[in-house]
Amino acid sequence: MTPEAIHTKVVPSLQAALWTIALFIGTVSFQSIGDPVLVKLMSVFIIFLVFVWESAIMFLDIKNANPGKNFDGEVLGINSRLFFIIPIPFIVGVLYYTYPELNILFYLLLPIMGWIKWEYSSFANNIHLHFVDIKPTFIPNKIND
Amino acid sequence: MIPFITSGVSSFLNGSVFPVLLAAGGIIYFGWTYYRANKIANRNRKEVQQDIINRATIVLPKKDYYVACAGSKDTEACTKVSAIDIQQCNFCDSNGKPLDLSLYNCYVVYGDSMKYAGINDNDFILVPKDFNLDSLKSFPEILVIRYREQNENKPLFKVRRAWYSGSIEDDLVKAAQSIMEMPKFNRLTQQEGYKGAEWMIRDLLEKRLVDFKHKYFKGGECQDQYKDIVISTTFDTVKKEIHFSIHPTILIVGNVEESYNVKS
Repeated sequence: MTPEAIHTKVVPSLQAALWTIALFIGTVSFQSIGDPVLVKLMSVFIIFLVFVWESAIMFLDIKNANPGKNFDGEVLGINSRLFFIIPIPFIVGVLYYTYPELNILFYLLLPIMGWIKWEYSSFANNIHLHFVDIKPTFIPNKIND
Repeated sequence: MIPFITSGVSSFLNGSVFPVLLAAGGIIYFGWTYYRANKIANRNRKEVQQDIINRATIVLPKKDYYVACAGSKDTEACTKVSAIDIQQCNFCDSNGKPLDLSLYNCYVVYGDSMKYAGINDNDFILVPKDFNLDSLKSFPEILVIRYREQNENKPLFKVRRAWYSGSIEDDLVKAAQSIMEMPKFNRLTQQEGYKGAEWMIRDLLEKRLVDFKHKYFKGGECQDQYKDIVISTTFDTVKKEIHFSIHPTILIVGNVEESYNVKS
């Protein structure tokens, strides 16, 4: 496995594997789940996992294809924001499962998922703004001792 | 036999174990491949970045910097020297935090007379632009000082370690004795070139003070602008001796905040 092979072969394979697994789990699990609320929540959950892993594959690809660049501190800030956004669909999902008569909670889940997808896509499409060139770094001598 | 195998395979394929195994296998393949790819990508990044740094001193643009002499001015040293542009590099403080280089003037050291202070030939020294004499409260302090006589093609600055700040009218013997009682000075006495306290004081009064008066006194009186002084030490690399020197504070450019060994 070389960096070139990662970019041209491995990343597409991982994308394909991810979607295949997601489709497989979705279709197979839907066969045995009778509860419509659970079916809806499972769909959302599977798509959520796909978002997260797609981002991880994207980050691997960018990291691999740009070895001479580092990322600035703002990348960590964006990741921290995602860290706080991610629990929201889980919380809303649990609330919908607890109160299934409140369909509004499910409808709320859809734009929340859209928001999460926007965050990941925006991060991916703007990551070039967070590149930092590698510079030689010098540590000071101990002086005046 | 064959119908038995066929029915076994058929019930396996139609059962719930098969899809679970497929899903689990897919997830393991995904996870293992991702892990290996990430490891290779990280290793490659490290190698590429180290190569960039290794080649940087050859390919980085150069800039001219003033020379700060750590030794005698009567050497081959010039006014300026060409070295790598510091804006293309990161210079960190002792905590590892990158400095804002726009706040500093950079000088390149010529000579080894400051080696006991940790500053060597060709080191880059950073001196804050907003230096104020009032900030000199504790000693010793490494200072960049302007030469009083500015000769063409010769260094304009020198670097010295100052131990005392006061007036030329102070009791210089007492000042020298107070310097020699400092713990950091005690380390200097272990180095090559230290000739003893008596020699230091005698040299200060009979040579350095005489030189000072010759340069800055008029009609037996010190001119006002040169009365405030600092006393420094330096290691004469030719005579191999450590001695005091006296400098008017008006010629002080700033204190050396950091020094870096830079190959360029």
